[in-house]
Amino acid sequence: MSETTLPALRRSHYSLDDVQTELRDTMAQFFERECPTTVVRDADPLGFDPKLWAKVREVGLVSMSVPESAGGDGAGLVELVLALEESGRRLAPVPLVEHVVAVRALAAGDPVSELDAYLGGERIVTFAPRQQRSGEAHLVPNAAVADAVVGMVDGDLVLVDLDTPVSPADTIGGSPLGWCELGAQTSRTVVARGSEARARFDRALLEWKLATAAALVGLARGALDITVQYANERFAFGVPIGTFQALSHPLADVRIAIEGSRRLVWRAAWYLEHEPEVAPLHISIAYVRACETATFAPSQGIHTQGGFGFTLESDLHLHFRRAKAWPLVAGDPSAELLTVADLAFGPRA
Amino acid sequence: MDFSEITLPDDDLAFWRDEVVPFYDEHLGSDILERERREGNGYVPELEVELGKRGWLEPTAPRDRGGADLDPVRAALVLGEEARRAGVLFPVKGSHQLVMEVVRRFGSPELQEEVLAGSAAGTIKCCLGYTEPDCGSDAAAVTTRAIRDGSDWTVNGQKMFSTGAHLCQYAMITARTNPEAPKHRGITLFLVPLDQPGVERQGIDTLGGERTNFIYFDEAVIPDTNRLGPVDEGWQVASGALASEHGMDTAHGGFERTRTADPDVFAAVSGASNWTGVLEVALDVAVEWARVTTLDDGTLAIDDPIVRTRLARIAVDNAVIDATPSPFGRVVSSDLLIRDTAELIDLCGPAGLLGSSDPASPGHGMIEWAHRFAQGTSIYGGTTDIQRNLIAEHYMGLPRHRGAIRS
Repeated sequence: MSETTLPALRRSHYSLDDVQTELRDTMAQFFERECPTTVVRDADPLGFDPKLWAKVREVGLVSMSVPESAGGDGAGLVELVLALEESGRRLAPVPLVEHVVAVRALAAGDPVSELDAYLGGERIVTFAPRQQRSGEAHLVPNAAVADAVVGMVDGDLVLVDLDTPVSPADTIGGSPLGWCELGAQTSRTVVARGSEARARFDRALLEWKLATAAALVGLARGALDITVQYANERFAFGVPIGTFQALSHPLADVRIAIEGSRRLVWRAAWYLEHEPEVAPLHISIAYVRACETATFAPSQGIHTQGGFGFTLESDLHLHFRRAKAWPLVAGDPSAELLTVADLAFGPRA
Repeated sequence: MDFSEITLPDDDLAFWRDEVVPFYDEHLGSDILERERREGNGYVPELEVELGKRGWLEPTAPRDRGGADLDPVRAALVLGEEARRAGVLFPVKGSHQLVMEVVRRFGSPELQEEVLAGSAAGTIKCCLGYTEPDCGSDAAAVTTRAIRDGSDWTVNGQKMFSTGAHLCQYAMITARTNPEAPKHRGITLFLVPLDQPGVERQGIDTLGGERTNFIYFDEAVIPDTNRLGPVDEGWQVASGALASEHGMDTAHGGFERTRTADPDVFAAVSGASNWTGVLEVALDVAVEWARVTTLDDGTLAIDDPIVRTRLARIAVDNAVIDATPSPFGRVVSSDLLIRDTAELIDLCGPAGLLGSSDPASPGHGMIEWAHRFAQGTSIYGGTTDIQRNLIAEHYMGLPRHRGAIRS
């Protein structure tokens, strides 16, 4: 029974420092002011608002998470997820997640042409989270609004200029997805090959999962905000419907799911920043849970609003669509459980 | 934000290796743990006496108060080692800490003289007596009566779910002292000696294997010096105490914890709260089972994608439980423990049904036990439904539910 070493001990400290708290509050105010639901609705069906994108660039959100060595502001990943939670909460119709991931991937190696234009956001670059083989086309996030794509084709990490505009695909909505065959585009720069390409793509994919998870946690919070307000204002049988435990208890469960999901995201961001070698498990776990929470919150919200929730008058359909549109470009979120298994229990024999 | 590894100084590690580990090897061996899982007493009286001899029940208290004058990290090494070995088996120790907290704050000098030294020595243990046959979540609906008679009180009524009462010396009970007052304003708290005329204890067996108790009071007499806090204000005194029971993390050392210099280190050394530990151990057991078990199609269970997905789902849930703060964590830890232990017992198939005495049982019956144990966790210390009311009304700004109006 006796052991000679203590199990590894770790701090478990989720609190934000003053700078992080201020950043989060600033971002919350920025998106509340600049991105009311009318902006989100006006940007549909494409899911992109160039004016908001200009403001997002102006406030420094694009460059904040790029290393100083590459001309960015060198903020950390914890700061990035705090900002993305706030943009996700307001469903900001801007290609922020993929743009930041792609720019970080480009900035991690030898300089590519027009990096400064991407860094400043004058040119939009997106990230294709699924590897492609020649001849394959995938639905790529923001392809319908981006100038370029960073992705993996036949084992090469490439930067592809979208010379011919990609038309938006007919989807569940809320996100400017487009069919994109990276191998067929003529203006293609190989950014890295072989093991370097692999390593940089893997890293970018981890960052994409982390960033997407943060935005999804925000989405769930936004949906819950709307639902709680409705449950206080809508009367049935002479009382606010929020007094009914049949409605309030599932909403408490949504809040509980959000509280856990956001801390898993924060923790995963900390690990990727400070101990990247053990971060993948934390990121996969955070991603799985955030996807579930983002599915749960708008669905429960629609149910709480009853018939109104099922109409397009309610804002919750905006959250509902994006809860799937944001993550599914990378494939089935539950398939991530197999990655969790590999990392937690060791690979299959 | 900080999740970095903690490296303890060599002398603290030596203290753990040379004093703490040998102590628990001697006094909390696998035979005692097996016995406790079988009998479900809620604590091990002999272990408490041995801990008391070393001052380890009040490890940070000065020696003249029965403590060991340990610094907080070493105290946490002692308590954390016990938590690691015993898991959830000693709930009475948490209840006892809760009672001692109230005795220190509200007890008469006579009562403090009577119990504090024995508590530090491990010879006195106290259980809780809030719940009654007709009053559970609605804890203020107590009908047990206490009537003043000079300097004494006479108590009549019954309590149930008093875990540890059959071995404890005292129970901290709520009793109605003013039936005319509104229900929250006529209750008084008492520390009742259990080995006395007019008090009878009767065992209740539970699904989780824990033995709990009825306590019957029939004209039991207790001195006024055993009253805790002002007459008729027991609800106010007890709600402070109940609040710490809801966190369910009192088992690791009670209120002395605030003296620590580095709370992160203290928390890490003290071990997990909620029921993270149970699900983590059950998952480990199931993974080990899957590594050595061949499915009907000839593949090793751990290599089967369905098995892997289901085990991974539980690994995610363990992380969720670990990351979710109170009071949210109290609900999700219980919900996921219930869901996932059912999943694990299914996953193991017939082997999941086996109890500890069958050599083929995974983890000495861990899976079968955890599935039973899980069911109680959504109930005791205030049900998860009551917690959802609290979260909805106090954390989310939802209107107060209507059921609360009738009373």
